[in-house]
Amino acid sequence: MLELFLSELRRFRNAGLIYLAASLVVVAVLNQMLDLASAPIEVHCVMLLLYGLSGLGFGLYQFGTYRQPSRWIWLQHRPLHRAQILVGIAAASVLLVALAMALPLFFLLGLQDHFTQRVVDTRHYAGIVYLALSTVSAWLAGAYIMLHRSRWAFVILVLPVLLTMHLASYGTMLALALACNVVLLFLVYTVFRPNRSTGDDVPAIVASAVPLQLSFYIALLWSGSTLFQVGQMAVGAHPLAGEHVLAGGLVEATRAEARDSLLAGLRAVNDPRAAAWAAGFAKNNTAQLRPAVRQYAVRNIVSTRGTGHFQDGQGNRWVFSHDRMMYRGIDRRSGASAGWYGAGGKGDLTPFDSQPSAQGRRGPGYLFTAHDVYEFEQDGLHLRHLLHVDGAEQGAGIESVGLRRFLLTNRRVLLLDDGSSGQPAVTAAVPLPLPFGDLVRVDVAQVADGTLLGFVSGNRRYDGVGSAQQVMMLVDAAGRVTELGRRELAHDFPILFEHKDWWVSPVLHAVVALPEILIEKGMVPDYGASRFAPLLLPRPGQVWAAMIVLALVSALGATWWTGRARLSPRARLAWCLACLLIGVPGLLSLMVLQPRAARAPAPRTADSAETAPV
Amino acid sequence: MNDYVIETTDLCLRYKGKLALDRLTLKLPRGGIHAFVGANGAGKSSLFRVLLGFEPATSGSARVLGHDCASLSPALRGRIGFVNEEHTLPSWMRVRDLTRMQQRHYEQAHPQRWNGERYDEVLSHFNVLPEQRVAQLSRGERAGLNLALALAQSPELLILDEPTLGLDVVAKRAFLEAMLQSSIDDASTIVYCSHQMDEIERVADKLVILERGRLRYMSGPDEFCERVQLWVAEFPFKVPEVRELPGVLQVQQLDGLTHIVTFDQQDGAAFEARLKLLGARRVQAMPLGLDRAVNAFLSHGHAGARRAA
Repeated sequence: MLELFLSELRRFRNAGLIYLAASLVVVAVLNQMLDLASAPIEVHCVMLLLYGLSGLGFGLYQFGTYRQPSRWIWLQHRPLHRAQILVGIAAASVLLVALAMALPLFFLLGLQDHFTQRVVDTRHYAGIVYLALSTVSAWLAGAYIMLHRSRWAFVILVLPVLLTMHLASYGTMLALALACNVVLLFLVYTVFRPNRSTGDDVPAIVASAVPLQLSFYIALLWSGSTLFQVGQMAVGAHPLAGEHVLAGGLVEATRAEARDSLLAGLRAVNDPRAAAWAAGFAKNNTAQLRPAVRQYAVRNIVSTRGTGHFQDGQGNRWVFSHDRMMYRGIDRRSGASAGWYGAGGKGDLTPFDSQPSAQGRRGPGYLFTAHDVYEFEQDGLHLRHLLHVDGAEQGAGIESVGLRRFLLTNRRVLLLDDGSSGQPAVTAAVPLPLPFGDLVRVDVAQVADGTLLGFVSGNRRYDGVGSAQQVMMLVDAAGRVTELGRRELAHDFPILFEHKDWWVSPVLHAVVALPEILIEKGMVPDYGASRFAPLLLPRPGQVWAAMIVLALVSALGATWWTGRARLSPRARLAWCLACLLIGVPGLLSLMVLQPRAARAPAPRTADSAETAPV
Repeated sequence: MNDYVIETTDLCLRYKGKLALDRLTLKLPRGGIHAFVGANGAGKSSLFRVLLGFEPATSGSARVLGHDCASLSPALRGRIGFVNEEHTLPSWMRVRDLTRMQQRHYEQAHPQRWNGERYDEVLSHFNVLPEQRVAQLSRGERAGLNLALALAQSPELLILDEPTLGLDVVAKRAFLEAMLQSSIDDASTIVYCSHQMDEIERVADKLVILERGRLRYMSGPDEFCERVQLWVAEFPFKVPEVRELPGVLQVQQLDGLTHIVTFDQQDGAAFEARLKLLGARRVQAMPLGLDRAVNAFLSHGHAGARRAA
């Protein structure tokens, strides 16, 4: 094993050194132009993609050469267990990745940490480890693709995407990346054998089948959805692409101006004052409040999310540090340190409770954390604390109409007026009539009888939440809240399209949804709702019918396919049941993993049986 | 201990839609050198891939050293040597490091089996330096290194798939001698696949002829030559259709004479009488060397020969 490890190191030593040098130069130059550590997530995604492609290419080349029949025999036919051979090669490859890819990044980040005023947190160092683990994942995926006998093995690439592409804390992400690598290593081990087909090895079949099914599920959804929408565009019937949207539909409600949206909502209201309210709508007394924040950056996030930086009126650039939970400033002209910026403003060392998110298109800007709202003052050098919410309630957006401010949380809309002391006070609180996650917008208008609010839902309609409504509410002068009426918004897309994630395979839908549900990513939750509510949504009858038909077709397809696959009766039954449960992705994985056996050779004829005496 | 080093029963292998092995039943006894002969595509390399567990059989069974080929343990692999015609070795390694690696692997599995003297002896016929990289070696030098490594392992069963391609005469002789010595010293069984009949004639104890994935013949080379005979007949007029006569393998016209190669013509007098009956003025029988005998035997079923006929 040690010899193979050294041999593999020797094999790629020169290539590794060239990659290291090139990487060092390119990253050093880029880091001069923009602060890579605190750069936007898009930059980090490009880095992840490039390093991932490097790892994938490395794996494809390395095992592509080993896969040649004579080389494969040389590698595998030796008195060494295949696990030892694989460990030797894998250890050398991981070391090469660490040296060629991660070392330059660590070196440059260390220099930046010690010799510049830029923010360098622990999460940035962890981010490099995450990048390295992702590169190893790509290398393992490349090895699996090259060694697997099926040309469909490339769908394994969906596994690292599914497992490791989340905006969670570095601890969570490193654990996930590590787990992904363990799974991929096991998968590579199942095909790293003299006879590269997995054969009758049950654990290997199961270990290969699950990610294949997940990958096929994602691929089916992506390709099916894309084809359907391209078809709609081709005939000019796509609800989002055409100029004429469906009247009374969600798309229309989403695109409307605040005034038009409220007018549409009032048509469902049977209040005699509605006509007067409608007549009084104008630009200066209506506004639209959207959930500006649906996801906060969790502490020690592996990449960058939200406003990780802002610039004050005095030319200082403030970059958020997760280690200190406050901003660190640099004078943009001199490059000198401008100190720290806490929850009270410049010079204040009170940490924020989470990474703030900035908002404000008109007038003064705001800073949001999960539980606090601040307003910028004095050219951005001071922060005025506006409101604090507790527990599971989290702020999500703010808008002004005249002197009144409307603060949206995941539980209610708060109406804020400046009190006599100058500190804003809550004059009314309107509970959200719909779950926060479904909320698309809230339209507000100041009318003679108080404040009119129109809540539009349907944000998760394409994720299977069928209902989309507009709910009209009135807050009178005394702060009393009355629901005036509600209307159902029409479906822009067919019902089956809206529920496609579910009926293609309810089981895999749940499996794919689980990481989203279980991993803490700073999502603003539906107040008071269970985390698992997305798994228990009601489905229309035709969606159930589509799901059942697909499951039965898959089971029948499995029965036909396994008729000529070399499987024991128990294995055949297990595959048929799995296809019934999992649906089409199960059937596709069966076709990849259990190719149909060739027909047995025909009996020899008298002529062909003629041979010389043996 | 099982009496057979290789044992296949109704072994079939379908590879990329083609039947590479067709219900092959073969029992190869321990000891000696077994020469495998067959036209290209006869299934020799496919058989070796199945035997070494690199290809799953479509049907039938295959055992090597008494064990199922589908599940060879590392220890068992240590008892089986294999050399292919390409002499694939890691081009990035130095000869010294490669030898050390192979030695350590094989010594760990079977201490005392590594035969360093034999390695040195075989390699001494080639101008290979320990510090050279494999990539710097010529094809012949690489072959020498590969063969030296394989023989140094002292395997119980050594499978050689056209090992001497690219070797010069001296190196080939040195290798064959080392192989013979290994067969005697270690009582190892050697499966030797080659198209070089002179080599086979020199070293083989048994001849195994494969054709289109089937076993056509198995016995000693001398016995085979005895059963193949060349008849030279002179037909003064039109040459009759003798190809369809029983036992005829090959018919050729050379210098106005008809050369007929037959297999198992037990009653030579009767065959001679038959030819004369067909108009032959003179008929003469003579033995054939292994090269021509095998050639005639294989050309009988060769795809090209069938098309020409």
